[in-house]
Amino acid sequence: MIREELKRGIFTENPIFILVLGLCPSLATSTSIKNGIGMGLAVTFVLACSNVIISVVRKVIPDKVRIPCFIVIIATFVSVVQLLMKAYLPALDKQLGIFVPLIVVNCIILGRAEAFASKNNIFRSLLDGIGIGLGFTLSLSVLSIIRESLGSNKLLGLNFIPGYEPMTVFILAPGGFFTIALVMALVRRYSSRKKEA
Amino acid sequence: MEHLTSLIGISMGAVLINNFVLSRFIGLCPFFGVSKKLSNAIGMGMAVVFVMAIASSFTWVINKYILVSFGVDYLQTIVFILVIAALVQLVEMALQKYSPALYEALGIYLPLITTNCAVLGVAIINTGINQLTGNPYSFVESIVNGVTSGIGFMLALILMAGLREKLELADIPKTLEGLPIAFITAGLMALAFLGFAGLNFFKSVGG
Amino acid sequence: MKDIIKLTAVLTIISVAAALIIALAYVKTKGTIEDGQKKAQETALDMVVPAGSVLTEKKGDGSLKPAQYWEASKGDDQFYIFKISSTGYSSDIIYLVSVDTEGLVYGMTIMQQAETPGLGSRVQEVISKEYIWNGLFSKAEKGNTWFTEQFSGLNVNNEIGIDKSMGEWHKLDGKSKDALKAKNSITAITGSTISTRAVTKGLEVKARGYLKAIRG
Repeated sequence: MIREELKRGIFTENPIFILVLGLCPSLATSTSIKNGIGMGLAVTFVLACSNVIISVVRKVIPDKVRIPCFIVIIATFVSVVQLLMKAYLPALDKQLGIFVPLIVVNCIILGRAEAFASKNNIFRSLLDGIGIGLGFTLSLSVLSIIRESLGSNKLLGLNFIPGYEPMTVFILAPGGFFTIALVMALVRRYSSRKKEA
Repeated sequence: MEHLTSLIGISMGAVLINNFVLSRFIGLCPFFGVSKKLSNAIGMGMAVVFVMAIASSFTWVINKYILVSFGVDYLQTIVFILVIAALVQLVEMALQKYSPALYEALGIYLPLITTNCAVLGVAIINTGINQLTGNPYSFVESIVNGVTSGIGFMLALILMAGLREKLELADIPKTLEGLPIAFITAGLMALAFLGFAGLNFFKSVGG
Repeated sequence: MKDIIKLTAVLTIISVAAALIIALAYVKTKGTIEDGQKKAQETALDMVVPAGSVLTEKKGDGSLKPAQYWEASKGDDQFYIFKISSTGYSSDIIYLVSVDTEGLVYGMTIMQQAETPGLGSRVQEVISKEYIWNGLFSKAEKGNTWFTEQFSGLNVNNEIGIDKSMGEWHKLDGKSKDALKAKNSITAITGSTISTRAVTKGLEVKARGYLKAIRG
C-alpha cells in the first residue's frame, strides 16, 4: 500500500507537472540542485506535518472556518521550518530567501489539506504528504539539473563539461519558463503514449 | 525631492524591472489559471491590486508597531497570512454586496487571492530595506510598492490573456497545447522584460 | 449568534496554540542562530587580516565613523576593518574590507549577497578546478574568491577603475595583473557591471570616508 501511495505522489498525481500546483517556488528555486532539493525537502516536511495534524483534527473543525484553520496550521509549520533553517542551514536559507515564508501559500499544501487530509485517516494522510512531497522534490531536481548544467555549466557546484560556455538564460527567468514547458510537454507525451498502449 | 524619486524608482522597479511574475516568479498559479480570457484577467488584476494595496498598509503597520515593538518578528508569517485571509474575506463580502456581476465573474479565483504569493510576497518585501535608498521602506513607500507591484502583475496577466486568446485559434502541436505553450509564451515575455534590467535612474550607490 | 462564537473560538484556540508552538521553536533556536552569526563574523574577520593579528572591536557614532569597526595590529602594521553594505543589482552586498593606515587594501571578503545566480553572485565565486566526475568523491580544495582577491594592494583613496577589456582576473597572467594594480583597477565580472561597481563604489565612498574620519 505504501508503494501505491508513493507512486501516486511521484507519477500519476505529480504536483508540478500533472496537478500544476506550486509553480512559484519551482521556477525560482530550481537555479541550482542544492536549492531545489533544499526547497523540496522543506515543503515535504511542512506538507507531511500539516497533513497529519489536519487529519487529526478534521472531525473537530467546523466546516465554515476550515480554510483559515488549515492556513494557521500550515503557517505554524512553515514558521518552525524557517527558524530551523536559520539555525542549522543559514546558507540555504539566504539562497531561498523570500520563498521560505512563501511556502505557506504554496497551493500544494493547502490543496492536499482540502482534498485529502481533511477526509482521510492519519496514516494515509502522512503517506500522501510524503508521497506528494517526494514528487515535488524529484520534479524540482529534474528542473534544477537541467537549469544548472545548461545555465552555469555546473552540477552541485562542481564543473560539468570542460570548455562549454554556459547559456546563462537558463538561470534567469525566461529559462525557467522554457525548461518547465519542455519537461511538461515531454511528460504529457509520455503519459498519452502510455494511455494509447 | 528625494522621497519622490524613491517613489518613482519603486514604481518603475515594480512594474518593469522586477516584475513580480516575469522576473521574480511570484504569483504564477493564478497567472496561468486566470489568463485564458481577457475580461477575467482584467477583473482579477484589479482585485489583486486592490488587495495588495490594503494588505501592504495593514501589514506594514502591524509589523512596525506590534511585531517589532514586542520583539516577536518570528510570528510575522502567521500574522501576515491571517491578516491577508481576513482582508480577502472582507473584499469578497463587499463585492458580493456592491458588484455581484464582478463577484460572479471572478468566481473561485477571489478566495484564491489569499494564496496568491504576490500578496504575501509584497507584504514581506515591504518589511525589508528599500534598495534605492538603503533605508527600510516607509509607510508611503510600502503602499506605493504594493500598488505598483499589483499593477505589474496585472500588466503581465493582461498581456498573457491577450496572447492566449489568440493562441486558442492557432494550430499547436498536441503535446504543447494548453500549459506548455503558455509557459513558452511567458518565457518569451520574460525574455523581453529582461531588457529593462539595466534601467536604474535613481540609484545612489553603484550603476 | 452561537455559531459565530463557536467558529471564532475554534479559530482563536488554534491560533494561540500555533503562536505558542512557534514561540517555543524560536526560544530553542535563538542561541544557535546567534552563535552561527557570530561565528560567521569571526571567520570573515580572520580572512582579511594577517594571521596572528590582535583584533579589537571599536564603536563609532554611526555618522562619519561607522557604528562598528575593528582595528588589527601585527607588529608595526596597523589595519582598520570595515563592514560595508552596497546596493547591488537585486540585493545589498555586504562585505568586510581591511585597509592599512595609507588606505591600501589588505584583504576583502564578501559576507552576504543575493545577486543573480550565475551573474552577480559570482562575486563570491571560487574557481573550482574540480569537475563533477572527480570532484564528487574527492575532497574539494578550498580555493580563493578571485573577485575579492584582485582588490589587494589597491588604494581606496584613489579612484578604482573597472577594466572590461582584459577579461576576468583569474584568466590573466602575472604581467597583466601587475599592470592592473599599477592603474588601481580591477576586472569586472562579465555581464555584471552593476554588482561589480557596487563593490568598488562602496570602497571609494564608504571605506575612504571612514578612514578619513578615523585618522583625520
